[in-house]
Amino acid sequence: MKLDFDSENEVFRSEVVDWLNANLTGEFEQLRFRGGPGDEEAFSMERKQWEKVLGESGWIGIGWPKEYGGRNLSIADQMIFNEEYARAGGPGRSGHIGETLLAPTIIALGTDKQRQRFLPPIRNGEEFWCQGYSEPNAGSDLANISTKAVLRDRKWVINGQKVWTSLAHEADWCFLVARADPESVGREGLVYLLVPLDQPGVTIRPIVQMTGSSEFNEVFLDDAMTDADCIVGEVGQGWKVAMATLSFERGASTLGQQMQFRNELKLVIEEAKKSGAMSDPIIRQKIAKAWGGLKIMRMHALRTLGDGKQATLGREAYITKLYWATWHRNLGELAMEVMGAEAERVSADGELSRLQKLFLFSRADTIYAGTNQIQRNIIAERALGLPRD
Amino acid sequence: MVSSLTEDQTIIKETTASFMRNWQGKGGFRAAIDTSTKLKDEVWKQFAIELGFSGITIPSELGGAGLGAIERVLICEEMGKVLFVSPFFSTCVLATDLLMSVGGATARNYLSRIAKGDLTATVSSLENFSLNHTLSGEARNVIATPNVEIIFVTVDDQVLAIDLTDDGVTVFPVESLDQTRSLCDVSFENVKFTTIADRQSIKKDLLSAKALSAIALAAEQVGGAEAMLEATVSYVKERKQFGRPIGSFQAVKHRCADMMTAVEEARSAVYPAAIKAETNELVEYAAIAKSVASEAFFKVSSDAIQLHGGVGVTWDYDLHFYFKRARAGSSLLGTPEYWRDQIAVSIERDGVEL
Repeated sequence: MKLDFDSENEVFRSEVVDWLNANLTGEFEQLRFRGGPGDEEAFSMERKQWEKVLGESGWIGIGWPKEYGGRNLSIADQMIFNEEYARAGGPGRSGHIGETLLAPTIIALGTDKQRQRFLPPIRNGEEFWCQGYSEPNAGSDLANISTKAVLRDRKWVINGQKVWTSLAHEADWCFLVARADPESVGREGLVYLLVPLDQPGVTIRPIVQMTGSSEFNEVFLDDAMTDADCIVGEVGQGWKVAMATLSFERGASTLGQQMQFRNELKLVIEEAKKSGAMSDPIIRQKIAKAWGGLKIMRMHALRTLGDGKQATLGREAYITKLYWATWHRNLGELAMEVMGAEAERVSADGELSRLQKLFLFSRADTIYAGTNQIQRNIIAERALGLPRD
Repeated sequence: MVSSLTEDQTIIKETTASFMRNWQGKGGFRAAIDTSTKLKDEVWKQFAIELGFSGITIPSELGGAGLGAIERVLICEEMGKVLFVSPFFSTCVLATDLLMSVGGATARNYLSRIAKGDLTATVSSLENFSLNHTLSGEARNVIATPNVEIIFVTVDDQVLAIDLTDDGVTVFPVESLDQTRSLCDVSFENVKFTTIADRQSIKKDLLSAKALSAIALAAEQVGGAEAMLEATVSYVKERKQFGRPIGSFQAVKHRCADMMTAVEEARSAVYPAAIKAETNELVEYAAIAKSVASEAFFKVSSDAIQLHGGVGVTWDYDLHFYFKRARAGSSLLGTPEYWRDQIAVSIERDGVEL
């Protein structure tokens, strides 16, 4: 057993660090540690410019095959890139949904024409995507989708409503799941469509969250249209494709996420030192526990990845979402605790501090992408083999 | 990345698991608690000498296997699954780690005897004592199987060895709540001793020894927690109420999911801690491992009792032995709170770097 990256990975790490030092400067300096969950409204235009810079230097799609403009890097190198990116305070990525969800889906299951049309603008940081899965009546019960899609005159015509659509208001395209067979129920009869958002049939309404800012949206589809060939997979296979999209995340981003968490924990500790809370024995315990939890997440990610050669993930992989979401929500609570009465004060410009945003936004962590309750069902049924309800 | 086990490590794990299954087949801890010292000695000789596990972490030039914390973690996890009753923990963890950490010729001499399997030992610290040419004082709650021969005591900046059969030494067996790990008190009245180490800088070595031993204990706790999870999962699949297995109810499922999460969290802390055992990050990793493994074992064994319902609180079911072992181990070698305070100290000193 060993717990470190190989030396060639470490060579790659210094390449990443050098590039970030050289490029995250000048007009982009102000973007450091900005954007991302809870702070998506910050510098949204400037961050899209930054995506182009990333694209020009070949930092988007680093895990894709070379024939599609990628670098075909290993998961280990992708983890390292994300880790160093976050350590340097690289701006929250506007293009991650296209890069990490849609692109692998069409590389694996799309047509050549789709690959030629959609991959280059993602790879170059020019087109942005959002994911249209959830609906008002399809949350935890995701298969209960009722948005309808009909093929009429060589166009898909789509009617219905999507909700909790992250970054739809910043996106150019949406990959969505809709029901093509009106008689079908559940996972049958669905289609996975690629839909342009800049059209009269699409209305995007941001949802104001408890932070006062908006990163999720409602997306209304009233005779929204897309070309007949903007379907991934066959008619009726939409569920399978939608699940494949979720399965492409093999942990490349986890170390990056953990580095962001480290940045936040650092702020919490600074506050604790400033407020004197660091000398409170109970707070010390909580901070030490948070730090231990963060180290465990990193070790767990490396363990889950193993030597990168396993065909399937072990049962331990199932705890990842439940663990980080709960940890992060607890960190938000701890942040408020260490600030004491100061936690209540909103600054004169009305913008919440990073720790205030962390506290409020992290309530969503244990809800989206499978609530903690759904995660526990998954662990119990798939990892432990307990009977379904 | 955490690469998988080497071939040798896999053999060690499987050999231990098979030894433990065999031991369990012959009555396991229930039999061990009741049987005579002689029978236990035979099991120990097989484990220590035939398998060569008494010297697992002792260097080969001293007759040991020359392996490290990783191999010992694999052994301890398997022992923890069945609550193996043996002098391994006091001899091959506590005493070995102390001797290895403080070093010196006398320590090496004892280590070679442990490696050969012809010495069982334990460790204690003395607070109230008088020490000049002889030692007087009392050690309480010492972990010791009845056949233990040598006790290594830490007094201030010294580590001393005392033969338990010497004049002036009296061993008082203590009935312990956790019957799978027996305790005793030892009183010393003007006894002679051998000095292993006597120097001001010893505190650091003692902390390293404690951290190393804590990783081994944490591995045992992961094993114990795993056993409790497995027992519970199979029970809730079988047990029916309201016409269906209770494991199909979400209230039960969710608790099982939390149990597995605790076990895997602890495992993700313990293996890396063993990997880091020979680096200057030892104390920090051990602190994380011991605190989460202790809490995981206590949580999982208490949840196991709850999910077994009425039979969970009976003597006939094995759960209470695990529950008691979990409780005892939580305080042993530093509570979760003690270790978290160590982490807080290192955060204040070094900050948080991933």
